[in-house]
Amino acid sequence: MKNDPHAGNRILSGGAPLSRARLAMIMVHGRGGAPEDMMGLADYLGLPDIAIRAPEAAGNSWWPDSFLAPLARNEPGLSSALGVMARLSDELAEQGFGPDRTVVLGFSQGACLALEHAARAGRKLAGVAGLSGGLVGTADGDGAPQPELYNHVEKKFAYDGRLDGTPVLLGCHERDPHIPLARVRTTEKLFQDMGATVTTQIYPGAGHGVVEEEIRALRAMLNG
Amino acid sequence: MPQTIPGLHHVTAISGPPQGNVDFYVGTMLQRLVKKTVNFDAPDTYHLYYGNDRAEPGTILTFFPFVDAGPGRAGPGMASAVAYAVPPGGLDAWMMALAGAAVDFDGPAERFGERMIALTDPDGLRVELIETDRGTAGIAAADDRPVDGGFHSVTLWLDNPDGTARLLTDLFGYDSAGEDSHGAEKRYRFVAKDQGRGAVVDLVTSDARSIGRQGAGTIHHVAFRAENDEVQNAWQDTLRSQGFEVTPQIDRQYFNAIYFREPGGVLFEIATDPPGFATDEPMDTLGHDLKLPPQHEPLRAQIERVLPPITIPRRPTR
Repeated sequence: MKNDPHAGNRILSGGAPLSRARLAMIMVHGRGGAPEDMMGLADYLGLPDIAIRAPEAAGNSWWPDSFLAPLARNEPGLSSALGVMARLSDELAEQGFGPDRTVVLGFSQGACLALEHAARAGRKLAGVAGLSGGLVGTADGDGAPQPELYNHVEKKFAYDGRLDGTPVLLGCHERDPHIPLARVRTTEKLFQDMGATVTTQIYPGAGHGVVEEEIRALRAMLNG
Repeated sequence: MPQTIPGLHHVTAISGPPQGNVDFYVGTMLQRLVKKTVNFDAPDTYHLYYGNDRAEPGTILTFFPFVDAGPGRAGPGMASAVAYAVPPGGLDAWMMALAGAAVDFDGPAERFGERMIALTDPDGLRVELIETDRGTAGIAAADDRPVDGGFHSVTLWLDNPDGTARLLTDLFGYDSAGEDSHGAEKRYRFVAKDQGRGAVVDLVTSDARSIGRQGAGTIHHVAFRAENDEVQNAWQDTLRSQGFEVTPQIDRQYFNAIYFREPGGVLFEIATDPPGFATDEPMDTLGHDLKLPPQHEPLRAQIERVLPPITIPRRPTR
């Protein structure tokens, strides 16, 4: 249990029943959040034909440090969290909702997790949305700390799958204190290189939160 | 002489084990631990008080940290959020500091024209920071203790706001200050006459399905200020004459309290400003020692044995 802190935690179900859902959406809460928050966001999106699954992090946090920190600092939380995502995807696939019928969406820390899961899984998905998030990376880098990464060292990003035909939405504030714009741009490029169709929305000023423009873009993506 | 309530006195919530609570409110929110005592009704549990440097009414957030508290959840009939006042221009520094401490938040958004962010404490209590002129005059935006201004407001989640609204306007002397809709949520604002610290009460109705459950991360009661015992007695009479069941005055050591259930279901208290928190230890060393009320002093050895040890973090300067 110690090495897999998120295993066995609650997974909330909501939205349409799988029997008549068009898509399934895995919605991942941020640090300090709860799956109920994601259900609230799903209600607000107002899409009645999507089944929702919202996993809960142990202690409401998927990992303890910033997603920019060296990977070991966030273990075993990070690996355990990726395990939750993989198992939840497998369960949905067994019930007829393979990756091409599944959307993964997250906010903040949950966005980092959703994006990292999508990039590592490397298969076409029905959609990916990172609201105030960026890729975590697959290994620590060996460069110098960079001011544009808030004095963290750039990670390595070794993803070998393809995401052709996958719509990806990235939304972030210009000066998000948690998520450096440089990492959002790197994330955008890496997803493009994997073949995904990326829409990036950068909101002016400082901030960190779900904004109305994202809701509109999500509705467009999920209805499309 | 129509008496009016000047604003919030304190807000009391429930948390899980105390160390995470202290680390967050002192280490991250930069509050001063102004009193370390026990729950007078259950002396094997701490009662921790956080406030500004001068431990003033309207800045005091208190917790009962139950080691085995189950997770609670706000719902109709409960206070669902507490908001601190940040001077205009002070929010950006807060966002950077919170991100630096790997504490997530949501925002900034605007509420009634004021910029705000929302976060949750380690037990899931919703804490908001709102930029406002109210009660923040003379506090620098880049101050190293930017929540010195104490509370901006408290949010009550209600099925029907009418009874509570009438209590606030007709008895407490608050002014109705408009309403605002956001998705399934409707927010009605009420502001105390003198517009000072902790002057705002927001009533919220929501279509979101939630059944509230008292537990870690939920607010237990909301206390309003009375300038002295005489004023408090007058409130007791007024409330009783209006059909509220009000408790007799209870000595809480640092204030005197009366309690009643408001029409929406939230437990309200009216607490006196005096004698304040420096009544049993000097202002300079508030919060250092475990303080017990006289009736529990004979049990000190036993109480100290069962209370979990806590370490007070040094408040970082920013």
